[in-house]
Amino acid sequence: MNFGYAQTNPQDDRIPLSRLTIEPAIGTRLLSLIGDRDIRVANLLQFNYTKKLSFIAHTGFSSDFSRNWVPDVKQNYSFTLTQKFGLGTSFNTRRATNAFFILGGLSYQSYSGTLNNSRLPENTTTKINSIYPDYGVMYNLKSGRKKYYLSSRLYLPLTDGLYGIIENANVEFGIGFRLK
Amino acid sequence: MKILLSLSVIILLFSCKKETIQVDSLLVKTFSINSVEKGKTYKIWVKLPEGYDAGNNHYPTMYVLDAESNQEYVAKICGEVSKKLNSQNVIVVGIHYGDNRNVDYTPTSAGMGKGGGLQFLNFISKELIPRIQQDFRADTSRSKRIIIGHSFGGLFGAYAFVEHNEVFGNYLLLSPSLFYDNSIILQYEQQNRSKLKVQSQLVFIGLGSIETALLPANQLLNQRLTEYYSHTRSAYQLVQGKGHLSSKKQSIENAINFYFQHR
Repeated sequence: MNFGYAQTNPQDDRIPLSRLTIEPAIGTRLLSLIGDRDIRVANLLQFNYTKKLSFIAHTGFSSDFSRNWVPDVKQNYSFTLTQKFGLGTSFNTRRATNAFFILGGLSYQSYSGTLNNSRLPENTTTKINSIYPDYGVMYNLKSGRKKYYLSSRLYLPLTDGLYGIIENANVEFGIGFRLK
Repeated sequence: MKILLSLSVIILLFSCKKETIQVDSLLVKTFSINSVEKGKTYKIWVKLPEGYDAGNNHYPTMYVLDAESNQEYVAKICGEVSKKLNSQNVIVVGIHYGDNRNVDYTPTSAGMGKGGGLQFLNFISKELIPRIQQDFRADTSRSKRIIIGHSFGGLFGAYAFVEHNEVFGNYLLLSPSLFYDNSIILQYEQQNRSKLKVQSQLVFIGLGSIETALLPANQLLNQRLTEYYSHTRSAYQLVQGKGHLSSKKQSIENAINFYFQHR
């Protein structure tokens, strides 16, 4: 194992350095495993400034599934758009590249749900739109040495300590393309 | 780059650290109370205001549910806000678990809840409050009693508001689980509205914007308070971008600020 991208280890030289990579993926919050499921599509654009330093732009769209444990609320829509930028570094092992990033940006959340309960006279629809900061750390495992490779990502938000990690940590899996 | 990597790890570790809250131990009293109503023993944590021993003032009392995780933060914020507003602080009474919160905090038996709310409220009103008023200089009027609870604790606070309104005059409801049992709290409110709306009270509802499933019922309760309760001062505040757990601290701060500003 060697810090830096493709430095002195001969094995590292076999992994080509690409200036620009793009990694579309799908994913979900870790919390989906125990309920409150969502699905997300995301893209990671990575620019390798040097062998040791990379800049990234991460764009995501996530949509929540309806919460079945609240039977009298019909979810009309619930989605979040996120745009983050960051920087980081990577090191290679025999078959993969391990990348670590610090990143931050903004999220836009939009939700609409209707309370429809036969025992209540009102039929209330709630709508909210909010923008809030989102920052954290990301681990990105890139498996494969060819032009196409597998990309697996784990994002841990740091905005709200342990509770924020429990609620909003997410994973993404996709394919990476070395563009140039 | 090693520095960058190390920095990430350090940030991660700091983000997970547990906050230590300093509480003056001389002002903290604890005791256990055997409840006849519940048949359980509850540990009670009492934080007296600064200057308590120096005077003869009587103080409002704030009853904290899920006290194990909330009491010290509530006491800290009460101290800070009362100082900032130059206003009399409160006696904070933390009620530790004597029974499962799914039993004590739920009004009816449904799903994971066992519906022991009435017995727990009887314990508070018939055993705990008299004990607090006997042992400490607690103001005995309804308007000087506050209940603060999160999640099922907020559900219990809402239950106290709509079904046994005589016990507390101030309700700080944080992410209350109003969806519980087919929105039973909203049904109770509807049934009891004529007698509830003539009472004076403060009601605060706070929750995170991304705990979306809880939003409609809470918004409806707030709408009803605004529309029908001319003697009630209420507030409905969302913490942007926060979930059920991560919104709690900010909601506690918002709720306590609301109480001290409007009592």
